[in-house]
Amino acid sequence: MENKIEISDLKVNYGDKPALNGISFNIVQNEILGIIGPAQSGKTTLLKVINRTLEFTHGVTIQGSVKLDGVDISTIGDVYGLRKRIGMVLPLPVGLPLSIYDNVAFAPRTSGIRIKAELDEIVERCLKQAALWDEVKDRLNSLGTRLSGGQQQRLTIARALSHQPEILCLDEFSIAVDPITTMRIEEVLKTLKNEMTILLVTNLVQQAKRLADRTAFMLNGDLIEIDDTEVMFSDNPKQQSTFDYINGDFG
Amino acid sequence: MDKSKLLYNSIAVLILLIVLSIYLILTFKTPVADSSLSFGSMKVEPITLLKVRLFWMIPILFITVILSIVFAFIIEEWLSPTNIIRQIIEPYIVILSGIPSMIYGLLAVYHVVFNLISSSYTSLTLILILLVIPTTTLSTQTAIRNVDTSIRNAAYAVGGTKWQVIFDHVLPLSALDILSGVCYTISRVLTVTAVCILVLNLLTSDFSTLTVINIVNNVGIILLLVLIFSIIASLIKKNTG
Ligand SMILES: Nc1ncnc2c1ncn2[C@@H]1O[C@H](COP(=O)(O)OP(=O)(O)O)[C@@H](O)[C@H]1O
Ligand SMILES: [Mg+2]
Repeated sequence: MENKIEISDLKVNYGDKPALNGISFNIVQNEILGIIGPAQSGKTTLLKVINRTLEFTHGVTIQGSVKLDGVDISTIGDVYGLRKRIGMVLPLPVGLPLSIYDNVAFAPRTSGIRIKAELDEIVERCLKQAALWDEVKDRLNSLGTRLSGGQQQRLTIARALSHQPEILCLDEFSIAVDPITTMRIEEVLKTLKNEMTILLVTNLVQQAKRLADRTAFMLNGDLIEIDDTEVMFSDNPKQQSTFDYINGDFG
Repeated sequence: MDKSKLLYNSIAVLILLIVLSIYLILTFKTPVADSSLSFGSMKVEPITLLKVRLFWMIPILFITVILSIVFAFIIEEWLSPTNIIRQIIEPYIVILSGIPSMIYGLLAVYHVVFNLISSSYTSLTLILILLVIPTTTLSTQTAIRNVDTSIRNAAYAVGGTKWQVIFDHVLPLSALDILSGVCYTISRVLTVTAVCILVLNLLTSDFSTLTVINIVNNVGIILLLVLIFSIIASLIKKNTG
Protein backbone atom coordinates (compact mmCIF):
# COMPACT_ATOMS: atom_id res chain seq x y z
CA MET A 1 0.00 0.00 0.00
CA GLU A 2 1.33 3.34 -1.07
CA ASN A 3 1.13 6.46 1.07
CA LYS A 4 -0.62 9.32 -0.70
CA ILE A 5 -0.11 11.83 2.09
CA GLU A 6 2.41 11.75 4.90
CA ILE A 7 1.85 14.12 7.77
CA SER A 8 4.55 14.45 10.36
CA ASP A 9 4.53 16.50 13.52
CA LEU A 10 2.03 19.00 12.15
CA LYS A 11 1.48 21.94 14.47
CA VAL A 12 -0.90 24.79 13.74
CA ASN A 13 -1.51 27.89 15.81
CA TYR A 14 -4.06 30.63 15.29
CA GLY A 15 -2.11 33.46 16.87
CA ASP A 16 -1.13 32.00 20.26
CA LYS A 17 -4.01 29.54 20.23
CA PRO A 18 -2.99 25.99 19.27
CA ALA A 19 -5.31 24.12 16.91
CA LEU A 20 -3.15 21.10 16.07
CA ASN A 21 -0.54 19.92 18.56
CA GLY A 22 1.94 18.02 16.44
CA ILE A 23 0.06 15.19 14.76
CA SER A 24 1.58 12.51 12.52
CA PHE A 25 -0.10 9.92 10.35
CA ASN A 26 -0.27 8.70 6.78
CA ILE A 27 -3.10 8.54 4.30
CA VAL A 28 -3.02 5.57 2.00
CA GLN A 29 -3.70 5.76 -1.74
CA ASN A 30 -7.33 4.98 -2.66
CA GLU A 31 -8.57 4.59 0.86
CA ILE A 32 -11.43 6.36 2.51
CA LEU A 33 -10.03 7.78 5.72
CA GLY A 34 -12.74 8.80 8.15
CA ILE A 35 -11.83 11.57 10.56
CA ILE A 36 -14.10 11.87 13.58
CA GLY A 37 -14.02 13.98 16.69
CA PRO A 38 -16.06 16.60 18.48
CA ALA A 39 -16.30 20.19 17.25
CA GLN A 40 -13.19 22.36 17.66
CA SER A 41 -10.83 19.41 17.55
CA GLY A 42 -8.96 20.68 14.50
CA LYS A 43 -10.46 18.59 11.71
CA THR A 44 -11.26 21.49 9.39
CA THR A 45 -7.89 23.04 10.13
CA LEU A 46 -6.21 19.83 9.02
CA LEU A 47 -8.04 19.86 5.67
CA LYS A 48 -7.18 23.50 5.12
CA VAL A 49 -3.51 22.74 5.71
CA ILE A 50 -3.61 20.06 3.04
CA ASN A 51 -5.02 22.27 0.29
CA ARG A 52 -3.08 25.28 1.56
CA THR A 53 -6.07 27.54 1.98
CA LEU A 54 -5.21 28.02 5.65
CA GLU A 55 -2.60 30.48 4.44
CA PHE A 56 -5.38 33.02 3.86
CA THR A 57 -6.27 33.05 7.52
CA HIS A 58 -4.48 35.84 9.20
CA GLY A 59 -1.92 35.12 11.90
CA VAL A 60 -1.64 31.38 11.34
CA THR A 61 1.62 29.54 11.88
CA ILE A 62 2.14 26.07 10.49
CA GLN A 63 5.01 23.80 11.54
CA GLY A 64 5.88 20.27 10.58
CA SER A 65 5.49 18.73 7.17
CA VAL A 66 2.77 17.48 4.90
CA LYS A 67 3.99 15.42 1.98
CA LEU A 68 1.89 14.69 -1.05
CA ASP A 69 3.34 11.83 -3.12
CA GLY A 70 6.56 12.38 -1.20
CA VAL A 71 6.79 16.10 -1.98
CA ASP A 72 6.48 18.61 0.84
CA ILE A 73 3.48 20.76 -0.12
CA SER A 74 5.00 23.91 1.34
CA THR A 75 7.73 23.69 -1.31
CA ILE A 76 5.26 23.46 -4.19
CA GLY A 77 5.50 26.69 -6.15
CA ASP A 78 2.32 26.28 -8.15
CA VAL A 79 -0.15 26.45 -5.29
CA TYR A 80 -3.08 26.76 -7.73
CA GLY A 81 -1.98 23.53 -9.35
CA LEU A 82 -1.76 21.89 -5.93
CA ARG A 83 -5.31 22.97 -5.06
CA LYS A 84 -6.55 21.48 -8.30
CA ARG A 85 -5.17 18.11 -7.26
CA ILE A 86 -7.39 18.28 -4.17
CA GLY A 87 -11.17 18.49 -4.27
CA MET A 88 -12.72 20.23 -1.28
CA VAL A 89 -16.32 19.98 -0.12
CA LEU A 90 -17.18 22.34 2.73
CA PRO A 91 -19.78 21.82 5.49
CA LEU A 92 -22.26 24.28 4.08
CA PRO A 93 -22.62 24.21 0.34
CA VAL A 94 -21.03 27.23 -1.22
CA GLY A 95 -22.72 27.74 -4.54
CA LEU A 96 -20.49 30.14 -6.37
CA PRO A 97 -22.88 32.79 -7.64
CA LEU A 98 -22.90 31.27 -11.10
CA SER A 99 -25.16 29.01 -13.12
CA ILE A 100 -25.16 25.30 -12.40
CA TYR A 101 -23.14 24.74 -15.56
CA ASP A 102 -20.61 27.45 -14.76
CA ASN A 103 -20.19 26.21 -11.19
CA VAL A 104 -18.95 22.90 -12.48
CA ALA A 105 -17.08 24.36 -15.45
CA PHE A 106 -15.29 26.88 -13.24
CA ALA A 107 -12.20 24.83 -12.46
CA PRO A 108 -11.79 23.27 -15.94
CA ARG A 109 -12.01 26.78 -17.41
CA THR A 110 -9.32 28.05 -15.09
CA SER A 111 -7.08 25.30 -16.38
CA GLY A 112 -7.65 26.53 -19.90
CA ILE A 113 -10.33 24.24 -21.27
CA ARG A 114 -12.46 26.38 -23.58
CA ILE A 115 -13.97 23.92 -26.06
CA LYS A 116 -17.70 23.74 -25.45
CA ALA A 117 -18.05 20.02 -26.21
CA GLU A 118 -15.26 19.17 -23.82
CA LEU A 119 -16.76 21.31 -21.06
CA ASP A 120 -20.20 19.81 -21.70
CA GLU A 121 -18.76 16.39 -21.23
CA ILE A 122 -17.01 17.28 -17.97
CA VAL A 123 -20.13 18.97 -16.59
CA GLU A 124 -22.28 15.97 -17.43
CA ARG A 125 -19.81 13.46 -16.03
CA CYS A 126 -19.35 15.32 -12.75
CA LEU A 127 -23.05 15.99 -12.22
CA LYS A 128 -23.72 12.31 -12.83
CA GLN A 129 -20.98 11.30 -10.41
CA ALA A 130 -22.49 13.59 -7.81
CA ALA A 131 -25.96 12.07 -8.41
CA LEU A 132 -27.39 15.41 -9.44
CA TRP A 133 -27.59 15.15 -13.23
CA ASP A 134 -31.17 13.88 -13.51
CA GLU A 135 -32.51 16.67 -11.34
CA VAL A 136 -30.81 19.57 -13.10
CA LYS A 137 -30.11 18.51 -16.67
CA ASP A 138 -32.98 20.66 -17.99
CA ARG A 139 -31.92 23.83 -16.19
CA LEU A 140 -28.16 23.92 -16.33
CA ASN A 141 -28.27 27.65 -16.93
CA SER A 142 -30.23 28.59 -13.84
CA LEU A 143 -28.37 29.87 -10.79
CA GLY A 144 -26.68 27.26 -8.62
CA THR A 145 -27.68 29.18 -5.52
CA ARG A 146 -31.37 28.57 -6.33
CA LEU A 147 -31.06 24.83 -5.72
CA SER A 148 -32.13 23.23 -2.47
CA GLY A 149 -29.54 22.65 0.26
CA GLY A 150 -29.04 19.01 -0.59
CA GLN A 151 -28.78 19.75 -4.31
CA GLN A 152 -26.31 22.55 -3.68
CA GLN A 153 -24.12 20.22 -1.68
CA ARG A 154 -24.11 17.74 -4.55
CA LEU A 155 -23.26 20.64 -6.83
CA THR A 156 -20.21 21.42 -4.70
CA ILE A 157 -19.23 17.76 -4.93
CA ALA A 158 -19.58 17.93 -8.72
CA ARG A 159 -17.46 21.06 -8.69
CA ALA A 160 -14.84 19.40 -6.51
CA LEU A 161 -14.72 16.49 -8.97
CA SER A 162 -14.53 18.70 -12.05
CA HIS A 163 -10.78 19.08 -11.93
CA GLN A 164 -10.30 15.33 -11.51
CA PRO A 165 -8.64 15.58 -8.12
CA GLU A 166 -6.38 12.89 -6.75
CA ILE A 167 -7.70 13.54 -3.27
CA LEU A 168 -11.25 14.40 -2.30
CA CYS A 169 -11.74 16.08 1.06
CA LEU A 170 -15.23 16.25 2.49
CA ASP A 171 -15.80 18.34 5.59
CA GLU A 172 -19.00 17.32 7.37
CA PHE A 173 -20.76 17.36 4.03
CA SER A 174 -24.04 16.02 5.34
CA ILE A 175 -24.83 18.83 7.77
CA ALA A 176 -27.23 20.53 5.37
CA VAL A 177 -28.30 17.43 3.49
CA ASP A 178 -31.31 15.20 4.09
CA PRO A 179 -30.72 11.52 5.00
CA ILE A 180 -31.77 10.16 1.61
CA THR A 181 -29.42 12.44 -0.27
CA THR A 182 -26.71 11.59 2.24
CA MET A 183 -27.16 7.92 1.41
CA ARG A 184 -26.93 8.67 -2.30
CA ILE A 185 -23.74 10.65 -1.85
CA GLU A 186 -22.29 7.87 0.28
CA GLU A 187 -22.91 5.43 -2.57
CA VAL A 188 -21.13 7.85 -4.89
CA LEU A 189 -18.14 7.99 -2.56
CA LYS A 190 -17.84 4.21 -2.51
CA THR A 191 -17.43 4.14 -6.28
CA LEU A 192 -15.15 7.21 -6.36
CA LYS A 193 -12.75 5.42 -4.06
CA ASN A 194 -11.44 3.48 -7.03
CA GLU A 195 -10.26 6.68 -8.67
CA MET A 196 -9.09 8.80 -5.77
CA THR A 197 -8.13 9.00 -2.12
CA ILE A 198 -10.92 10.29 0.08
CA LEU A 199 -10.68 12.16 3.37
CA LEU A 200 -14.04 12.10 5.05
CA VAL A 201 -14.34 14.41 8.02
CA THR A 202 -17.65 13.61 9.60
CA ASN A 203 -19.74 14.54 12.58
CA LEU A 204 -21.73 11.34 12.13
CA VAL A 205 -19.74 8.53 13.71
CA GLN A 206 -21.86 5.94 11.94
CA GLN A 207 -21.01 7.48 8.59
CA ALA A 208 -17.34 6.74 9.19
CA LYS A 209 -18.30 3.21 10.19
CA ARG A 210 -20.27 2.72 6.98
CA LEU A 211 -17.70 4.17 4.60
CA ALA A 212 -14.21 4.42 5.97
CA ASP A 213 -11.47 1.86 5.53
CA ARG A 214 -9.58 3.43 8.37
CA THR A 215 -10.75 5.96 10.92
CA ALA A 216 -8.87 8.63 12.84
CA PHE A 217 -10.14 10.10 16.08
CA MET A 218 -9.14 13.65 16.88
CA LEU A 219 -9.68 15.54 20.11
CA ASN A 220 -8.59 19.08 21.00
CA GLY A 221 -5.91 19.23 18.36
CA ASP A 222 -4.47 15.80 19.11
CA LEU A 223 -4.71 12.65 17.07
CA ILE A 224 -5.88 10.18 19.71
CA GLU A 225 -5.97 7.09 17.58
CA ILE A 226 -5.95 5.93 13.97
CA ASP A 227 -6.67 2.39 12.94
CA ASP A 228 -8.77 0.16 10.73
CA THR A 229 -12.41 1.08 11.07
CA GLU A 230 -13.34 -2.35 12.43
CA VAL A 231 -10.78 -1.98 15.21
CA MET A 232 -11.85 1.57 16.05
CA PHE A 233 -15.49 0.56 16.24
CA SER A 234 -14.84 -2.70 18.07
CA ASP A 235 -15.24 -3.12 21.81
CA ASN A 236 -11.55 -2.64 22.41
CA PRO A 237 -9.85 0.19 20.54
CA LYS A 238 -6.49 1.14 22.03
CA GLN A 239 -7.74 4.30 23.69
CA GLN A 240 -10.58 4.46 26.15
CA SER A 241 -11.60 7.92 24.90
CA THR A 242 -12.07 6.54 21.38
CA PHE A 243 -14.48 3.97 22.75
CA ASP A 244 -16.28 6.61 24.81
CA TYR A 245 -16.65 9.01 21.90
CA ILE A 246 -17.85 6.39 19.46
CA ASN A 247 -20.34 5.05 21.93
CA GLY A 248 -21.62 8.46 22.78
CA ASP A 249 -20.39 8.59 26.39
CA PHE A 250 -18.61 11.84 25.91
CA GLY A 251 -18.43 15.06 27.90
CA MET B 1 -8.05 49.13 20.05
CA ASP B 2 -4.54 47.74 20.01
CA LYS B 3 -1.43 49.82 20.58
CA SER B 4 -0.20 50.06 17.00
CA LYS B 5 -3.63 51.14 15.78
CA LEU B 6 -3.71 53.84 18.41
CA LEU B 7 -0.23 54.95 17.40
CA TYR B 8 -1.01 55.20 13.69
CA ASN B 9 -4.27 56.98 14.39
CA SER B 10 -2.52 59.53 16.59
CA ILE B 11 0.10 60.08 13.89
CA ALA B 12 -2.65 60.61 11.33
CA VAL B 13 -4.47 63.12 13.53
CA LEU B 14 -1.20 64.95 14.18
CA ILE B 15 -0.26 65.12 10.52
CA LEU B 16 -3.73 66.26 9.48
CA LEU B 17 -3.56 68.99 12.13
CA ILE B 18 -0.17 70.11 10.84
CA VAL B 19 -1.43 70.16 7.26
CA LEU B 20 -4.47 72.14 8.37
CA SER B 21 -2.28 74.67 10.22
CA ILE B 22 0.00 75.11 7.22
CA TYR B 23 -3.03 75.57 5.02
CA LEU B 24 -4.50 78.19 7.32
CA ILE B 25 -1.20 80.10 7.56
CA LEU B 26 -0.77 80.09 3.79
CA THR B 27 -4.30 81.21 3.05
CA PHE B 28 -4.10 83.99 5.63
CA LYS B 29 -1.13 85.46 3.78
CA THR B 30 -2.81 85.66 0.41
CA PRO B 31 -4.72 88.84 -0.31
CA VAL B 32 -8.40 88.83 0.46
CA ALA B 33 -10.68 87.17 -2.02
CA ASP B 34 -11.75 88.88 -5.24
CA SER B 35 -14.34 91.32 -4.13
CA SER B 36 -17.72 90.89 -5.65
CA LEU B 37 -17.09 94.21 -7.39
CA SER B 38 -14.55 92.72 -9.75
CA PHE B 39 -17.20 90.47 -11.17
CA GLY B 40 -18.55 93.51 -12.90
CA SER B 41 -15.59 93.81 -15.24
CA MET B 42 -15.83 90.21 -16.39
CA LYS B 43 -16.63 89.38 -19.97
CA VAL B 44 -18.59 86.24 -19.18
CA GLU B 45 -21.27 85.91 -16.60
CA PRO B 46 -19.63 84.70 -13.37
CA ILE B 47 -22.24 82.00 -13.01
CA THR B 48 -21.48 80.69 -16.49
CA LEU B 49 -17.77 80.65 -15.70
CA LEU B 50 -18.41 78.70 -12.50
CA LYS B 51 -20.64 76.24 -14.31
CA VAL B 52 -17.96 75.64 -16.96
CA ARG B 53 -15.41 75.04 -14.21
CA LEU B 54 -17.72 72.64 -12.41
CA PHE B 55 -18.62 70.89 -15.66
CA TRP B 56 -14.96 70.09 -16.30
CA MET B 57 -14.83 68.42 -12.93
CA ILE B 58 -17.07 65.59 -14.20
CA PRO B 59 -14.28 63.62 -15.94
CA ILE B 60 -12.03 64.21 -12.94
CA LEU B 61 -14.78 62.92 -10.67
CA PHE B 62 -15.00 59.85 -12.88
CA ILE B 63 -11.26 59.23 -12.67
CA THR B 64 -11.06 59.73 -8.89
CA VAL B 65 -13.96 57.32 -8.35
CA ILE B 66 -12.25 54.62 -10.43
CA LEU B 67 -8.96 55.25 -8.65
CA SER B 68 -10.62 54.95 -5.25
CA ILE B 69 -12.17 51.62 -6.18
CA VAL B 70 -8.83 50.28 -7.42
CA PHE B 71 -7.20 51.65 -4.28
CA ALA B 72 -9.72 49.85 -2.06
CA PHE B 73 -9.15 46.57 -3.89
CA ILE B 74 -5.40 46.89 -3.47
CA ILE B 75 -5.78 47.54 0.26
CA GLU B 76 -8.27 44.71 0.83
CA GLU B 77 -6.80 42.05 -1.44
CA TRP B 78 -3.08 42.65 -1.27
CA LEU B 79 -2.36 44.22 2.09
CA SER B 80 -3.00 42.14 5.19
CA PRO B 81 -4.55 43.95 8.17
CA THR B 82 -1.16 44.07 9.91
CA ASN B 83 0.65 45.37 6.86
CA ILE B 84 2.47 48.52 7.91
CA ILE B 85 1.44 50.52 4.84
CA ARG B 86 -2.18 49.63 5.38
CA GLN B 87 -1.99 50.54 9.06
CA ILE B 88 -0.53 53.90 8.17
CA ILE B 89 -3.00 54.69 5.38
CA GLU B 90 -6.27 53.52 6.88
CA PRO B 91 -6.64 56.16 9.64
CA TYR B 92 -6.53 58.93 7.00
CA ILE B 93 -9.28 57.27 5.00
CA VAL B 94 -11.48 56.90 8.05
CA ILE B 95 -10.83 60.39 9.45
CA LEU B 96 -11.22 62.20 6.13
CA SER B 97 -14.38 60.33 5.18
CA GLY B 98 -15.94 61.38 8.46
CA ILE B 99 -15.71 65.07 7.61
CA PRO B 100 -19.11 66.48 6.62
CA SER B 101 -19.34 67.62 3.02
CA MET B 102 -20.32 71.08 4.28
CA ILE B 103 -16.71 71.66 5.37
CA TYR B 104 -15.53 70.93 1.85
CA GLY B 105 -18.36 73.18 0.67
CA LEU B 106 -16.87 76.05 2.69
CA LEU B 107 -13.43 75.35 1.25
CA ALA B 108 -14.90 75.32 -2.23
CA VAL B 109 -16.72 78.58 -1.62
CA TYR B 110 -13.51 80.24 -0.50
CA HIS B 111 -11.25 78.87 -3.23
CA VAL B 112 -13.62 78.68 -6.14
CA VAL B 113 -16.34 81.24 -5.66
CA PHE B 114 -14.47 84.04 -3.90
CA ASN B 115 -11.44 83.54 -6.11
CA LEU B 116 -13.40 82.74 -9.22
CA ILE B 117 -11.15 84.63 -11.59
CA SER B 118 -7.76 83.86 -10.10
CA SER B 119 -8.50 80.32 -9.05
CA SER B 120 -7.45 77.46 -11.26
CA TYR B 121 -8.75 73.96 -11.67
CA THR B 122 -6.10 72.77 -9.20
CA SER B 123 -7.93 73.87 -6.09
CA LEU B 124 -11.18 72.39 -7.37
CA THR B 125 -9.45 69.12 -8.16
CA LEU B 126 -7.85 68.99 -4.72
CA ILE B 127 -11.16 69.54 -3.00
CA LEU B 128 -12.75 66.90 -5.20
CA ILE B 129 -10.01 64.40 -4.35
CA LEU B 130 -10.44 65.05 -0.62
CA LEU B 131 -14.18 64.72 -1.00
CA VAL B 132 -14.26 61.59 -3.14
CA ILE B 133 -11.32 59.31 -2.39
CA PRO B 134 -11.83 58.68 1.36
CA THR B 135 -15.56 57.94 1.24
CA THR B 136 -15.44 55.88 -1.95
CA THR B 137 -12.46 53.89 -0.75
CA LEU B 138 -14.06 53.23 2.62
CA SER B 139 -17.40 52.14 1.18
CA THR B 140 -15.69 49.95 -1.42
CA GLN B 141 -13.56 48.33 1.29
CA THR B 142 -16.69 47.55 3.29
CA ALA B 143 -18.36 46.15 0.18
CA ILE B 144 -15.39 43.87 -0.49
CA ARG B 145 -15.29 42.71 3.11
CA ASN B 146 -18.98 41.87 2.95
CA VAL B 147 -18.33 39.25 0.30
CA ASP B 148 -18.60 35.98 2.20
CA THR B 149 -15.17 34.48 2.84
CA SER B 150 -16.56 31.04 2.08
CA ILE B 151 -17.04 32.09 -1.54
CA ARG B 152 -13.47 33.25 -1.72
CA ASN B 153 -12.26 30.01 -0.16
CA ALA B 154 -14.42 27.90 -2.46
CA ALA B 155 -13.03 29.68 -5.49
CA TYR B 156 -9.48 29.28 -4.24
CA ALA B 157 -10.12 25.64 -3.34
CA VAL B 158 -10.83 24.75 -6.97
CA GLY B 159 -7.57 26.39 -7.96
CA GLY B 160 -8.73 29.87 -8.91
CA THR B 161 -5.98 32.48 -9.08
CA LYS B 162 -6.19 35.72 -7.18
CA TRP B 163 -7.23 37.63 -10.31
CA GLN B 164 -9.92 35.10 -11.17
CA VAL B 165 -11.27 35.23 -7.65
CA ILE B 166 -11.38 39.03 -7.74
CA PHE B 167 -12.84 39.46 -11.21
CA ASP B 168 -15.16 36.45 -11.32
CA HIS B 169 -16.45 36.50 -7.77
CA VAL B 170 -15.56 39.37 -5.45
CA LEU B 171 -16.19 42.16 -7.96
CA PRO B 172 -19.59 40.92 -9.25
CA LEU B 173 -20.77 40.18 -5.72
CA SER B 174 -19.74 43.53 -4.32
CA ALA B 175 -20.64 45.58 -7.41
CA LEU B 176 -23.97 46.85 -6.11
CA ASP B 177 -22.56 47.87 -2.76
CA ILE B 178 -19.66 49.61 -4.47
CA LEU B 179 -22.10 51.44 -6.75
CA SER B 180 -24.16 52.42 -3.75
CA GLY B 181 -21.07 53.96 -2.17
CA VAL B 182 -20.31 55.79 -5.41
CA CYS B 183 -23.86 57.20 -5.55
CA TYR B 184 -23.52 58.37 -1.98
CA THR B 185 -20.23 60.08 -2.82
CA ILE B 186 -21.72 61.71 -5.90
CA SER B 187 -24.52 63.12 -3.79
CA ARG B 188 -21.86 64.57 -1.47
CA VAL B 189 -20.10 66.15 -4.44
CA LEU B 190 -23.37 67.56 -5.75
CA THR B 191 -24.11 69.10 -2.37
CA VAL B 192 -20.83 70.98 -2.51
CA THR B 193 -21.59 72.02 -6.09
CA ALA B 194 -24.96 73.35 -5.03
CA VAL B 195 -23.38 75.34 -2.22
CA CYS B 196 -20.92 76.96 -4.65
CA ILE B 197 -23.57 77.91 -7.17
CA LEU B 198 -25.88 79.19 -4.48
CA VAL B 199 -23.25 81.40 -2.86
CA LEU B 200 -22.14 82.86 -6.18
CA ASN B 201 -25.76 83.50 -6.96
CA LEU B 202 -26.24 85.37 -3.72
CA LEU B 203 -23.07 87.38 -4.31
CA THR B 204 -24.00 88.50 -7.78
CA SER B 205 -27.70 88.94 -7.39
CA ASP B 206 -29.62 92.00 -6.64
CA PHE B 207 -30.84 91.22 -3.16
CA SER B 208 -34.09 93.02 -3.64
CA THR B 209 -35.27 90.54 -6.28
CA LEU B 210 -33.98 87.52 -4.43
CA THR B 211 -36.72 84.99 -3.82
CA VAL B 212 -36.92 81.37 -2.91
CA ILE B 213 -37.99 80.68 -6.47
CA ASN B 214 -34.82 82.34 -7.65
CA ILE B 215 -32.64 80.07 -5.53
CA VAL B 216 -34.54 76.92 -6.38
CA ASN B 217 -34.24 77.90 -10.00
CA ASN B 218 -30.47 77.78 -9.78
CA VAL B 219 -29.74 74.83 -7.55
CA GLY B 220 -33.06 73.01 -7.46
CA ILE B 221 -32.05 70.50 -10.12
CA ILE B 222 -28.84 69.71 -8.27
CA LEU B 223 -30.60 69.28 -4.96
CA LEU B 224 -33.07 66.99 -6.67
CA LEU B 225 -30.17 64.96 -8.06
CA VAL B 226 -28.65 64.76 -4.57
CA LEU B 227 -31.90 63.29 -3.37
CA ILE B 228 -32.13 60.85 -6.26
CA PHE B 229 -28.56 59.62 -5.82
CA SER B 230 -29.08 59.15 -2.08
CA ILE B 231 -32.24 57.18 -2.72
CA ILE B 232 -30.53 55.01 -5.35
CA ALA B 233 -27.63 54.46 -2.95
CA SER B 234 -29.90 53.16 -0.22
CA LEU B 235 -32.04 51.15 -2.63
CA ILE B 236 -29.21 49.14 -4.18
CA LYS B 237 -27.29 48.62 -0.98
CA LYS B 238 -27.54 45.02 0.09
CA ASN B 239 -29.01 44.50 3.51
CA THR B 240 -26.34 42.89 5.61
CA GLY B 241 -26.40 41.75 9.18
N1 LIG C 1 -10.02 31.36 11.62
C1 LIG C 1 -9.76 30.99 12.89
N2 LIG C 1 -9.21 31.88 13.74
C2 LIG C 1 -8.92 31.52 15.02
N3 LIG C 1 -9.13 30.30 15.53
C3 LIG C 1 -9.67 29.37 14.72
C4 LIG C 1 -10.02 29.66 13.35
N4 LIG C 1 -10.52 28.55 12.78
C5 LIG C 1 -10.51 27.60 13.76
N5 LIG C 1 -10.00 28.08 14.92
C6 LIG C 1 -9.81 27.34 16.18
O1 LIG C 1 -9.06 26.18 15.92
C7 LIG C 1 -9.56 25.08 16.64
C8 LIG C 1 -9.90 23.95 15.68
O2 LIG C 1 -10.99 24.35 14.86
P1 LIG C 1 -11.50 23.51 13.61
O3 LIG C 1 -10.33 23.09 12.82
O4 LIG C 1 -12.54 24.30 12.92
O5 LIG C 1 -12.13 22.26 14.34
P2 LIG C 1 -13.27 21.26 13.83
O6 LIG C 1 -13.35 21.35 12.34
O7 LIG C 1 -12.82 19.94 14.34
O8 LIG C 1 -14.53 21.70 14.49
C9 LIG C 1 -10.76 25.58 17.41
O9 LIG C 1 -10.36 25.82 18.74
C10 LIG C 1 -11.13 26.85 16.72
O10 LIG C 1 -11.68 27.76 17.62
MG1 LIG D 1 -15.01 21.82 11.17
